[in-house]
Amino acid sequence: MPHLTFKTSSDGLAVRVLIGLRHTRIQQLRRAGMPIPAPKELRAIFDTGTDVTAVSESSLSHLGMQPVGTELVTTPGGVAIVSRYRISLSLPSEDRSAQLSLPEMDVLTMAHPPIGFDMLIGMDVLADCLLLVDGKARRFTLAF
Amino acid sequence: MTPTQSQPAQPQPVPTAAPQPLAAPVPAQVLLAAEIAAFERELPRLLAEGEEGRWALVKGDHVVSVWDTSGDAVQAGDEKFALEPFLVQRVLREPRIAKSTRYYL
Repeated sequence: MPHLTFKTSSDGLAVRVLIGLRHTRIQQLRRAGMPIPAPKELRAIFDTGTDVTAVSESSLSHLGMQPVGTELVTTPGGVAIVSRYRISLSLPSEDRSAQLSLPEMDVLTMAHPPIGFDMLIGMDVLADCLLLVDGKARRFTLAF
Repeated sequence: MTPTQSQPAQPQPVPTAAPQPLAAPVPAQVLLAAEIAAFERELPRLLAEGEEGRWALVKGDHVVSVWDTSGDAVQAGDEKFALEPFLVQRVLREPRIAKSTRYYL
């Protein structure tokens, strides 16, 4: 089973990820001879208490993406409607020798990202992985 | 007309203005307002036809097709509408609210 191991930090299970256009959209832009925006690196945090994956709106700006739907979320002001996007996600290992790649996945926009982070990776991704946290060694491993 | 002698080109000042920030993405509620209205109008019919839990692909004023997963519906939308916007929305009797026990989304 392929796996990636990361150091834990005082923030928790934090990683660097790359988000980009979904696979089918890249193929369409290629066929149309249009430029393909480079993937964007974001600081993300895993959270087992969140059932979705969400990114800050500003992270999506340079990719020129269009939303494909809406979802309801809880906010400080109550329930709100946010946009849903379909993107690609890559999670490289710390030495960049291996990576977890999801060419198509749904993410929501997030109005209140955790301080210092642009992305929250929730149980929708973790549900297909094995997550092992070695607290004493200050490392965690994601197998997929 | 005698062409005027042009002066040697002077070096132009390099623009020093900071790059303009990229525009925020248009929210789905705005970009897909017509599709959302069509989906809400068609939702009772879709539920009555047993489509609950599946994903509707909506373009303009009508539901185009219904799929088992959001991925299938988005792929169908990409193939049919290329780079034009379209809506993919889950057919649910009670809307789902995404939750986080630690953060506000």
